[in-house]
Amino acid sequence: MLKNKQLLDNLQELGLKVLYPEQIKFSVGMASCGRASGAEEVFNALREEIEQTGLGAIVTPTGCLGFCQKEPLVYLQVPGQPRLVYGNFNSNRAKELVQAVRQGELYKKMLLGTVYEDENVVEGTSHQLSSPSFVSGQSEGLRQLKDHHFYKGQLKIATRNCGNIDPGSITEYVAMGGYQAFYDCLQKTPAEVIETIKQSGLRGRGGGGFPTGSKWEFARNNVAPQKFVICNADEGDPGAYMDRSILEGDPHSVIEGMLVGGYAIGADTGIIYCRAEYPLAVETITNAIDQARTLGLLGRDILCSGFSYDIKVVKGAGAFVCGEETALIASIEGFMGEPRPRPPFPAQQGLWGYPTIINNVETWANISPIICRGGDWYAKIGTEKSKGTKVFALVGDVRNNGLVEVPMGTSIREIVYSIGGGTDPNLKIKAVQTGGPSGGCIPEHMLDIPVDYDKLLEAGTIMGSGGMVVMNERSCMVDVSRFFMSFTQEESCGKCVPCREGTKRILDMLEDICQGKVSDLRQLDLLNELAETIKDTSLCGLGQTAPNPVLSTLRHFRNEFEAHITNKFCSAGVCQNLFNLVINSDLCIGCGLCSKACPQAAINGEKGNPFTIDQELCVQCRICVQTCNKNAILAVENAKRGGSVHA
Amino acid sequence: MPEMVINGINIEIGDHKTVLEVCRGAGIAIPTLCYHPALEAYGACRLCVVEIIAGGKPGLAASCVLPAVGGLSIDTASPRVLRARKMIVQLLLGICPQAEVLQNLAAELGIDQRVFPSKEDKNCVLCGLCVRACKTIGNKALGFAFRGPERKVGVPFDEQSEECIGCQACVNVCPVNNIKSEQRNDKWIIKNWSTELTLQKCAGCGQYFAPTPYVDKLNRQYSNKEFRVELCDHCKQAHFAAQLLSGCK
Repeated sequence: MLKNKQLLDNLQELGLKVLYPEQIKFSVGMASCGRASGAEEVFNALREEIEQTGLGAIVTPTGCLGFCQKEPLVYLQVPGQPRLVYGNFNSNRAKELVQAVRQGELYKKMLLGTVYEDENVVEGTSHQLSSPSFVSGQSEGLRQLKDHHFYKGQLKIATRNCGNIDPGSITEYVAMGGYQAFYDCLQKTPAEVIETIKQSGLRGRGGGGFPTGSKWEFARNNVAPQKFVICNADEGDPGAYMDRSILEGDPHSVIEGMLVGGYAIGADTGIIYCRAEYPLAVETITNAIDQARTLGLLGRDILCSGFSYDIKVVKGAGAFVCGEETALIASIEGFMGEPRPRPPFPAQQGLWGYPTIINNVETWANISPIICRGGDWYAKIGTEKSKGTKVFALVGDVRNNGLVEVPMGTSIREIVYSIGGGTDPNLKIKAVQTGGPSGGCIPEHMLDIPVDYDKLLEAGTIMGSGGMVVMNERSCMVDVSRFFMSFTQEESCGKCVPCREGTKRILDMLEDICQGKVSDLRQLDLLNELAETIKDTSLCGLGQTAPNPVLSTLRHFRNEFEAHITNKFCSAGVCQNLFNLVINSDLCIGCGLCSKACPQAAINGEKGNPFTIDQELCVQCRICVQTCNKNAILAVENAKRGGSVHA
Repeated sequence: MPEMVINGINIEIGDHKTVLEVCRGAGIAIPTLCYHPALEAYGACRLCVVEIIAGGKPGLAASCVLPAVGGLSIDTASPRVLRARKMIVQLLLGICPQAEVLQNLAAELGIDQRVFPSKEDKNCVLCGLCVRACKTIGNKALGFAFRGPERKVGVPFDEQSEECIGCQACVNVCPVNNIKSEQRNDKWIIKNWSTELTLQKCAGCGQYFAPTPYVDKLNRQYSNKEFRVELCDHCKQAHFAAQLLSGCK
């Protein structure tokens, strides 16, 4: 065994040299989100400029640090000095940065913050980049990144390495304590490993929240000649991308988690089911598997322990229902992605009838730190029944978009207002939607509820896989529920009646309400009854949770539904024909921006005086609303449609 | 013997595997649409839902796929069950308003008014009985295509099937009589599957009696028996009657 400990030690030593080289290092966040904002151009510009200027520096790719609003992100690491993190970079700035480094100057443009030490979450240690007392004349007054309001409330466990290491380098992963957990497991019995996971209180991060340790124990206790471990990377909630970010930024954390899971239940094969829409994630994880195999961390007789295990990647075609575990299994087996009734559960009869455990990417990424630092350490973080941290994709009408990882128990208000920076200062936040198409909307006055599986359920939503959409006054809640319903009814596999027919009927009714075609308030009771039935009777999780967006908006925003039906009025100004746009003459400064933007030439006036909208020409496209800096354009009731005359 | 509680009464489970079987064995009526005792349970129509009171995860569950285990207590007609069934029948009436089986169910459940306007051109409830019958009895010619509201049953690409043998299992098992087939000269035509099969003549009377691929399949299946399919029902009766009579002499 000593010899194999040696392998990890050697890799770690090598990795630290690459991670903290004795020369200047630039890193660029090259996950999908970074690339979409132009990270590749920045990366190439840095390389070219370094080559041309002869600066002895290296450029490496890294994953996503979560601050998507500021992509592309660039990191500058000069030996002995704190790391500098820059946001909103482009190729021009890249050239300027290289020039500044050559001249020994501090480049302050777009500087987000500094990093003095890297935390090694797995080992519970930290690596000093520079002494905390490092104060050169230049760096005075610079903010540390961890004090930036976006990072202040965060605690990174699952995304610990994202944006810190090169996802293509196994040595850098080992440098951050990687594969240590797996080595530790080999010194323990599988039962001890499962006990640690049970102690930690870790619950499935895919949405269901089933205790991971118990799931493993069921699979372990089922005697079978073959068992499987599956990683569910079929992330499909609109606007959620936690799993993609982990696969692209730290693929080995998933591989190591699956190794531990395989050892614990006695499986020799792991399968990563990833959607084909994530080409970069598939490429990154496939490379990582090859590396691990080359070094003998996957394959036969791993680290001379007698334990053999290998991982395959299976690409899914992107059906949302394939995130449901039985449909996912059917898809891997080559059948149509359709769920089947449970029991039997996959832990009893899963892939090809053998016991199978399925956990999602984020759950797997949590395993290594738990093994290394103990179940007690993990159980100290979070609330009574929800332990650890949760990654959220914070999107929508919020100033700081991005991936945030917070300890369980953090209030949604803190995530939205402190980390997310709130919404447009002229507008109020109306609701926060969690759990994607399976979740619900939480109204502003309830935002103090903590991130906790059970508390969110009580509020009519779910934790889900981590989508968090912030909506302000300009979102119509009827329209929001219509959007989510159009998603689920299209993604329903169509096997069971309530989900197939019911979601379509709900969508029809919501579309009618949005178009002002409904005049009878009793339709809302039918809507509620239908939604409750779908929830009660559907075959799988998709159908059982599909009505949540409707039920929660009906519960918290019934007045908006009623206004659409009785007054034919959409106060948010979203549902076309159910409002008129007018300019508030008290707020209008007569800048004329709206008039220029209007495609219908419906807005007229004299500069310096309030403008007016010609209702005959206006088509309610709302471009003027988005253009106005003074929030002076309002949605008012349409006089012609007012009352409940229209059928 | 393990027992379960149905509507407050203790009932022995016996050899039954599912709650639906136990209920039907005890004479308790539960409506079904996608269930057939000879075929694999599917759990899709959700009409057979029952409410679990104790001994399982509380809530509604489809009894056709709910394993019957000792200690389970269920209600087959609680208000929650009836409310769900009514809504499901309403949804089905929306796509198949003319189906007799649905009209009967609606009458049983006391539905006097439909709440959803009907959609055109859909006379199929997608219960999947035909697909499973074809898999079990026929020749695995049928399957589902598309998903969600677009889902439908059919043969690949809606073209003349290479697998269909014209056994009529699908036609007979369809609860809403949606699958239409007919004879035209020497052809057997199954309209829903865009499939035409040549008919075989009876070796006795010379009338067409069954699609050739079906006869061939049966003869392959019974090839080790002293028996060949070559007669129509009428001639078969006459043949066996003659055999029986000659035996009596």
